[in-house]
Amino acid sequence: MPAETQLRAVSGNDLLRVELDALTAIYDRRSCQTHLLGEPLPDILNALGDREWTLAAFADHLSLHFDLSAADDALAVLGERLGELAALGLVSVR
Amino acid sequence: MRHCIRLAVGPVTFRIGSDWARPIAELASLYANYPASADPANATVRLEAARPWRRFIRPAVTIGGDFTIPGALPLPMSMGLLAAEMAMNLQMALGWRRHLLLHASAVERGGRALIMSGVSGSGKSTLAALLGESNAWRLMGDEFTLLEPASGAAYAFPRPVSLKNEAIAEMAARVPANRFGPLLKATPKGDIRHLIPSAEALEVMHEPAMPALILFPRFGGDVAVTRLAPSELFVRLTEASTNYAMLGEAGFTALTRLVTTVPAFAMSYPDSATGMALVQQCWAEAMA
Repeated sequence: MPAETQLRAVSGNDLLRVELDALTAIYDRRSCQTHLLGEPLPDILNALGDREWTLAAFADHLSLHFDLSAADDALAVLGERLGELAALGLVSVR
Repeated sequence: MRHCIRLAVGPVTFRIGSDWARPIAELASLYANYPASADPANATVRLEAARPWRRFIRPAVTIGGDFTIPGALPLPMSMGLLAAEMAMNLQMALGWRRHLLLHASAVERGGRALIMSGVSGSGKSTLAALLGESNAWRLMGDEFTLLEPASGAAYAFPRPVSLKNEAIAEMAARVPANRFGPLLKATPKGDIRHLIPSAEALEVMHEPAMPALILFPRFGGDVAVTRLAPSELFVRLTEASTNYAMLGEAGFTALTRLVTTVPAFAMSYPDSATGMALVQQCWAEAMA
């Protein structure tokens, strides 16, 4: 996923979230689908919040809270996880 | 339809029509002690001849109603009761919206419900029937447990217990003969005989119970009891529910509340006596 990719999470009003244990159950009111997400996907959704990001800006934002610098391929890994959320329809990618 | 009967099982009132008198007479006998319902029917079942002449020549029962399974093979007239049961289950599984439906048996004790889910042959019906015959428990149902989305309460669906194969003799040794339907031999599911719930269970069939314990029994193998994490329970129960997806947000809310508040165990057991002991042990721990 290129660094300039635009990202936006589904509005929090459209999702119901229940933490079960290691997994979080998420109900998407728009699709009526239920998703079971493991870490770090629920945290990524949380961190995206209700605004639009580029992948690079979002990685910078996360690095303020998490130690992303340890991995050289942090941007690529983050891109993969965001791709998974996009495949579930929980993040829109442009 | 030529022959009709109305049957109330828990909150469901079935209107059952048939091309023949025999299945209706058998149903009337099996459900003779069920409370009558003044409610309008909310599920329709039809037991029909596949072709007009099959009413008379080698009569074979095709199941129909509000919902049908295209291509389902008809059953011989001698299995009309099984056809009726399958048709009633089908209408419930595909049509019922008022409750979250779990493919599970349930028994009640002191206003709390034990729910047992599992595939055919897991022993969930036999264990529920055995518990239902003890003084302490009320049989709520052997096939479906109905969860009310708003309250989370379990409602009974106490149709006659469908005993299969070895379970028939096991229950016949404990229950008077007048509480059994006819023996249906060599059906696609093996030998089947229906056990009519006790009069006490039928009398209070509209009374709900709050779920307190969920078990996944598995008949056969060594004794093993494993606690299930909420996420595994959630996955198992979405698979055990025939209408989870249909209920949308109400189903999600009801099921997540259930799995985060009620303990659940997978339980293997080699025989009914051991199974009963394990159930009582798990129940005692859940109540502690």
